[in-house]
Amino acid sequence: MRRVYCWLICQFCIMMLGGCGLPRNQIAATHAFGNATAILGALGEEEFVGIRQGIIDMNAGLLALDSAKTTANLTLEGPTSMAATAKRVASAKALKNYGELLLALATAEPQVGLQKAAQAFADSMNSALGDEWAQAQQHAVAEIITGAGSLFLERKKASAVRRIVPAYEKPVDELASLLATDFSLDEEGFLQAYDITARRLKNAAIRVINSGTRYSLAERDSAVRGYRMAETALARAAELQGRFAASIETFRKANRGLAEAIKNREYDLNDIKDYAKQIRALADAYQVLTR
Amino acid sequence: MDLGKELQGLIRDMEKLRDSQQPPDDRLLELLDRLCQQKLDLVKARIDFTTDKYQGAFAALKDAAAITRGVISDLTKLEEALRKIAKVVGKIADLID
Repeated sequence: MRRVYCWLICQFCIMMLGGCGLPRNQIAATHAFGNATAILGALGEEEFVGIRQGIIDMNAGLLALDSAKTTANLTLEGPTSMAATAKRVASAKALKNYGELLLALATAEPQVGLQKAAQAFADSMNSALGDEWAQAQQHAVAEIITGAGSLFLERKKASAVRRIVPAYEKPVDELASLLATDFSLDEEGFLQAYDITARRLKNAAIRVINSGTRYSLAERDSAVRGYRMAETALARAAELQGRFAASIETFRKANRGLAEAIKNREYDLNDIKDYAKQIRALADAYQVLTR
Repeated sequence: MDLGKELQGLIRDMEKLRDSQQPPDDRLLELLDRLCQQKLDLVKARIDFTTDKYQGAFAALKDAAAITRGVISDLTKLEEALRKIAKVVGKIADLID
């Protein structure tokens, strides 16, 4: 009889420690969404720095090609100043860290890893949103950071997901909206500035290339290099706009979908699956896009 | 009434016109370069679109865009188009200043 009691107590303890976590479909949704969001944020972060560097390189090419351009009338970085870039990188990083936090909550991540992911997310939200970061949202993350011990970890993770996902639905949607503006050729953002700079360089290169023998071979050589750089940038901008626009649109749907899936176990996860698929396609395309 | 979007359209049309000429007209290349610079400057300038200057620049832009589209198939109007584009450059420069 005593052995039966011991066995029952052990079973209860196991259930309490391991159980009370998220149901399987909610884990799958959080995992898929977290992974895709971490990739989207990381690509955004890399691309903002890449766009700024691309603009600097193209403006340097423009200075070399057009004698009317001087250091007084042409700023190498154009509108993508260090401060403007840092602001955008912070937003993309916050998105990436949000994805990583959800991933840590949905996987068998130990307490330390989870606290680290939560701290990284809290730091990046502070940089990206500053005072606009609401108290309620801060508390949801702070609980993970300060939570001690690994007892009832699965239960704590489930509770954290249930608090964090609805609390962050709106702020991460706002971050995505900023990203959408910067990766659109029709909005006044980073990608549009990159595109216009490329058009300007192409224009200066065409002046030399299509003018017969008016310019020297050395000037022509420099123009051909500029032309090539500009054409590559224009193709890259067009491709990035299409891919990012589609990815951000599916992100928004999936973000709403995840919040629903956390509330309702029976929620259809197709939006999240589409999003994960879209981000895989973006990551694959990104690898082959030349600079 | 979005000056930036209208300007983007004019830049595209001027590029088509440039690419249809061999060699391209130097004045066209120069104006195209200026408009590209102004497109970038407009972002930083944060213009008030309710002012008369803005309305004037927008009207000049619409006018220049219409004639530039026509010049692609009829080069006889090139001089008139260049004059109108130069007027746009002046009005936007005023606006940015």
